Amino acid sequence: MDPAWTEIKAGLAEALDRPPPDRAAYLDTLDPAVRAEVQALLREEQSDGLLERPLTTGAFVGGLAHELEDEPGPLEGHRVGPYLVQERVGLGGMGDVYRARRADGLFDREVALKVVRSGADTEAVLQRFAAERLILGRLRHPGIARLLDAGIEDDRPWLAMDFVEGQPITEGTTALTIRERVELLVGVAEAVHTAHQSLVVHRDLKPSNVLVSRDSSGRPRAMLLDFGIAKILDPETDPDLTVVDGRRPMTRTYAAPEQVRGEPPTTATDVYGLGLLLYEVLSSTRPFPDEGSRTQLEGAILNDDPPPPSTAAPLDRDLDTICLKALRKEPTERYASAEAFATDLRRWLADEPITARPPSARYRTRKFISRHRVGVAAALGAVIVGIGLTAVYATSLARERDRARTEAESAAQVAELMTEMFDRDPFAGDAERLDSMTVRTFLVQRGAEAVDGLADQPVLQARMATLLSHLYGQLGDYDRAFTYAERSVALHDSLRLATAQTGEAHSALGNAYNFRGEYAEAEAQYRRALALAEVTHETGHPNIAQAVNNLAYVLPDVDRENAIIEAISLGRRALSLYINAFGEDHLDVAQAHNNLGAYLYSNDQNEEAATHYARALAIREESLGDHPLVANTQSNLANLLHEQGDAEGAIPLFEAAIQTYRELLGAEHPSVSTALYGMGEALEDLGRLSDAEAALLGSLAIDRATLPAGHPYIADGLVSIGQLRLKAGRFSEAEVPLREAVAIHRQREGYENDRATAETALGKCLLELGRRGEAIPFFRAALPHLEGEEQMEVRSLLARLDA
Amino acid sequence: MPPAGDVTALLAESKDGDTSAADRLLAAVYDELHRLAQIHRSRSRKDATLNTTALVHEAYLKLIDGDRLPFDGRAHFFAAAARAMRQVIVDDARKRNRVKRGGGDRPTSLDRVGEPMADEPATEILALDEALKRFEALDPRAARVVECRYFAGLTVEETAEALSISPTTVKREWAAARAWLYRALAEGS
Repeated sequence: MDPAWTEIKAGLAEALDRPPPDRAAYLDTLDPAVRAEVQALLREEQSDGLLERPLTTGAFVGGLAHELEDEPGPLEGHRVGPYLVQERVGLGGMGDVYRARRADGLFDREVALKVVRSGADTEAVLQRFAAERLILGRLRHPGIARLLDAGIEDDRPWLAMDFVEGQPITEGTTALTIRERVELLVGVAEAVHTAHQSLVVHRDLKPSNVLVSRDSSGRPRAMLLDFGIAKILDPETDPDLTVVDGRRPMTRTYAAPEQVRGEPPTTATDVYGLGLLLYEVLSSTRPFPDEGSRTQLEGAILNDDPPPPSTAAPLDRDLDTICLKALRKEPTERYASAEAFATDLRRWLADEPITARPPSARYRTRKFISRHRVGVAAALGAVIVGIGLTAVYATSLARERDRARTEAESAAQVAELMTEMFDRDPFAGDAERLDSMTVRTFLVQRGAEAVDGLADQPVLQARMATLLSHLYGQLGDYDRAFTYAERSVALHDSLRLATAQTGEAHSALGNAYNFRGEYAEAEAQYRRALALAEVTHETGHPNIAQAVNNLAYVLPDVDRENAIIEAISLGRRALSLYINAFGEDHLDVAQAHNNLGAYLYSNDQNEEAATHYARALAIREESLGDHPLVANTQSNLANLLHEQGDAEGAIPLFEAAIQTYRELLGAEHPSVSTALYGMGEALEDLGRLSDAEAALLGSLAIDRATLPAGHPYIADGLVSIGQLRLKAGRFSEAEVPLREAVAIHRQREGYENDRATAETALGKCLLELGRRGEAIPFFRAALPHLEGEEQMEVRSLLARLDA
Repeated sequence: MPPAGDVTALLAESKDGDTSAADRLLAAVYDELHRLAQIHRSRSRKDATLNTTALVHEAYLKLIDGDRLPFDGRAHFFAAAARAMRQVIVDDARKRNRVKRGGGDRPTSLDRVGEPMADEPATEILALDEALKRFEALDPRAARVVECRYFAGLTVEETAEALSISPTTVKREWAAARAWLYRALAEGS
């Protein structure tokens, strides 16, 4: 082990063994170089990432508006990074905002430049920016201003964002009708939902961050600013700063109760923010007026029921209900998602009954007990970390929880049960609990207890069993997922129930069979789930589309003639259902296009598959802009086009995908290699051999840098390059890569076919070089593992050589 | 799949310092884990996330003949399995980033139901793996701990057993590795 690292590591262990207040004294005893390293590593103690927790629930408190004393000097006319500052357009707590333009002429683009005041912890801001850059860079939505760039100038961090003109939503909507205001809020909520799907929480939704302008046809449109910026700028994520300065953040008028309590914000925090926006836009008042002391405001946010907005303006009761549901103190009692909030507003616009109910007496009288409630989010976080594989995991788990919450009649009870289950987690707060076995053991005990304890409430018991089945599925414990799904279905059967929840139980059992690879049984369950969805949901409900989609998905795996044909027909149905529910341009619709494209592709209906890929691509491009998902679809489509013989058409798609990947994921990213490889093959077919070689060499270089030596992908690349050089008649240059490829393949078990291909190419190469004696053994080794034409060719070659 | 006795024998040989046996052990465990992972997820739908712990234990049951297992062979197996699991996961993440290359099992991937961001974790796992490679050069033992804890989902105790170190050491190595990796990821992105 590196001696410097040994010392740093020992210092880190010592420091971590001490309580935080004692660490500084210990650090002072260290060699300065070692100390600096240990301090940098200590800062990571607070980190949350792949190894810990999903990105949405980072350790965070507070927001942008902090009282900072230092006034920045005037910046107009100065250069900040590559930008020339034009005029100051806003004053913020954390810093000022300027209109600026790129000074290096690279792009002619106006930006909003947020320059953080001196006094903020520059390095911490930049570190957080670096951590968030990828995620925020991927966040593309026509209703969200993008974060473009960041840097540091004269010790002051700056952030460059899309420049947006408009008025704060509360001022820009005064001339609008109530209906128009609600329509505007639907758009805002949809943008927020898109961000949530990208695992970005805004954390600081308030009127000054939602600007309203008129589009070319004069219709009002809203644009969200500062998405995800709060997390970067917030000094509270840096414990040193707050300790050193003793500066307390102001309580913001727009803070959610959990933020006042100092808990991490979640998507539910943004739902609360949407509620505040709706409330103020409709009634021109705030639910908790910012008068009096900080303590009074905090008390009101934590404890007071806001008056319905209709007390300040003539409004429909249903709008009261929607506002107040979004503004519930307890995050789990709010709308499950920004999308659910948007859906209720759309229902109101369509004069349909809304899903929210006015709070019952129980809700109104119950005071919020903070400690008890933290459990759900935090402990579910732990479950996710326990398995620790993906952030997506987090969202789907949260979604299952949300689904349970919104759709179960006994939603509150279920949530409370879950909360109780996790609250009793004996490992709470301890890093050691972030361990799959612990969580699993824990779930087994508590889950079984919870289900068994509900014998007198069979409906809830069944609901709980379905929920546990989902949870176990998420955990990858498919046996238990199966057990609980079966139990839930059995309970529904014994009660002779045929509700939406019965459908969900069958769907869970279908998932469980699918996990086990028992596709025929999965199909049967999905069919029952679909039948139930059709009778329990009104026509056009998105759940029906989802049930159709599930059934379609399993069919290509079912071993039955024409199953793929039915998959295609169901895929078409799912597509039209999604379009009816969400319109042509929704991301779910894009997904349905993509899936249908895949079924068609499996059935060799390449032409039609291509149109669906293209449509999926168009929607994704429109709503996501430059995004790795878009690049993936482009790359898919390009491969399809190439296979159809349109190598020419494939090239620009590959190029676009490569550019997006490079910009958003970095030039060395494996995705770049994939697209380069595909493009190399297409270029080769076009006879552009030197371009093809450049692409393949680029792909190989990335593979070598990112893969272990001897990886079969490296061999693939080497074979392609070798074959290309054979084609170009550069035989001696072909020998080197082909020899390496053969060596790699010969070290691996299996892969006989790939190995034979490499051996054949090497044999041909040696033959061209006049070394037939060396070539023959390679052909002999390859022969038994080749197929069809290739085998015939080698056989006749060998026959001639032997002669 | 090689018969259980073969892997048990390989385990004994590799424990005795036979490096080619160690390589073959790794390859055998890799193949089995890969095969199990495929069964569990390649065709499954939305919750298609690997449960690494279950896979490692399942591979153990399939590959190891308990009666012929040498003393502390079980720990040795888990250490090998953690390495192999990391490779399975990274290969899998890579595969998810590739479409139709080199004879993959499915021409095009379906979106996961209701999960439009299915591609992100692959990216992150690959970034982590790259950082871990660099860390490995600096501190091989701590890197092994990350493999056991993160990639194979072993508990602190299981990790301690697999690597023949104390649980306290596992915790210390984990804390150091975690800090180093987060810092590397923040700088690298």
